[in-house]
Amino acid sequence: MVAPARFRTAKWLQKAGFAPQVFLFRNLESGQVIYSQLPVFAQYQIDAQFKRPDWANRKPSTRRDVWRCMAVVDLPNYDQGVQLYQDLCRLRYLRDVLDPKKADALRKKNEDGHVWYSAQYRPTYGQEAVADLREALSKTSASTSQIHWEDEWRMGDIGRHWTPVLPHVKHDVLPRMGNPAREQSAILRALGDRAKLAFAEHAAANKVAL
Amino acid sequence: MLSFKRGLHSTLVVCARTKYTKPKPKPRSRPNVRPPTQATHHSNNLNITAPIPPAVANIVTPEDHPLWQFFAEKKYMRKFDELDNDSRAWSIAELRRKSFDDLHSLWYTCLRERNILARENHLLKNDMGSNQDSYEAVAEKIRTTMWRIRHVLSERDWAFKRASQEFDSQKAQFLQEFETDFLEAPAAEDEESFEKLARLQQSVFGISEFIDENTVDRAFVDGMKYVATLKLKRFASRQDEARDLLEQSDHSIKDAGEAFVIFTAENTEAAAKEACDVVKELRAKNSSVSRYEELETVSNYVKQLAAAQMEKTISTGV
Repeated sequence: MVAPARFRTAKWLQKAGFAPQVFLFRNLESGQVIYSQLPVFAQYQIDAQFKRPDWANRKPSTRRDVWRCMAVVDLPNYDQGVQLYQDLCRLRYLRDVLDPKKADALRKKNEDGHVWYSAQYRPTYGQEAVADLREALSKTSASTSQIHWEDEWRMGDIGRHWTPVLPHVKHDVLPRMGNPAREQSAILRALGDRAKLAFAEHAAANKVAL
Repeated sequence: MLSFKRGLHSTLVVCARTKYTKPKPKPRSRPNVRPPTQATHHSNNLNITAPIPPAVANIVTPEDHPLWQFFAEKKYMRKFDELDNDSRAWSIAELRRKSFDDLHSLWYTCLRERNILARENHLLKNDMGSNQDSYEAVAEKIRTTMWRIRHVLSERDWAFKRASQEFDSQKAQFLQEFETDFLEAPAAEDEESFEKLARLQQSVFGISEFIDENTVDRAFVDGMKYVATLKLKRFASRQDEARDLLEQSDHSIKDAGEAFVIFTAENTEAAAKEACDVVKELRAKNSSVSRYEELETVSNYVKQLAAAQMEKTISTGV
């Protein structure tokens, strides 16, 4: 699979046979999250999404064994997929660079006033990614979209956090039969194929030329 | 006339094109302009929102989750007065009266209870930092029961081993006694008698009721001959064919092929009669199995029968 070593346009994604999807990967050691347009990631994403690394928010490595797919978002078309990715990256930039104080004020702190942690792990990064995903989806104006989460736990309270803001978003859980860490690429490929089919059906229904 | 491509700073400033000088001509219109490849841009009204914490409430634990086996009535932890404090361990004398299946189920009941108690005790000691050992006391009683179960089973095992050592010398006498009892039982008790015979062939000759589980060896063939003879004798009082056959073969079946036919027949008079007819046909054709080829021939018969049974079950199952 081609490495996502640069920004990919909607046209390129469609031509290269990818589905209108956005992928979130989670670091098992630190809890950091990277967004990707393709079902894989590269150093490009890490460089682009960790603009202000510090002691608590190090630039993570590309080691594939410490990254797991956290969520896959299906969008109705490629433009909205790209825009969701841009919004997510923008929100990360807002948090890290433009308004770090505001982002920091919302984080859970321990008694010393630091971001709550356990060794290298800071759960707040994953939770911020969920919040950013909700914010970005609500600004994307996608009529229908679906989120495939790695588990039910990660998505947060649906009734409190998701349904009031985004009632049309469908939530789903990635299949977990067997060893999902080992089968991840196959699972993501199957999801991509399904999303491509759904997009083709949607386009045929709307009589849009593919 | 004069070229101002290079000049002093002041002259360049004077000659620079400004809004007061003549405007630059418009570029020529281009007919084939490629539209931009990227049309979207990030939204400008994005806000930083509070992190969304994960929710345990989303996870529904199934009723039959295997880890529930480590919880008593799905409670996090039982209170001290909910424990079975007044009980005692099973005594060895009580356990000796129980069958193997009872002991087996009791063992697993104990094991599960000890798992629960160990988890609760661990929580009590490590999470709550308590010094109470109520859970351990109950677990200790259960542990006593468990070693006593093993003790009783060991006793039985030794008894069985000793009995089997002595049995070799008394086998002939035992079989003789069994034969007398078996033949004296009335015809109405056919079913019970043949069940007894099945148990005998399992325990003395090691022949399983399920034909495909058997391995053919000397004991198997001897047992088969013994059972076939006994079957014929049982039906000899009621059937002329069986009696004739028995008299012709000197009151015991010696040929393995004939024994196999009678051995595998159903335990009814009609089936016994059919088997007798088949044996007579075999004798008329003068086909007998040599004693040196018995094992090989019988194992082939067993394989064929097992395959036939398998086909039959598959065809009926479909």
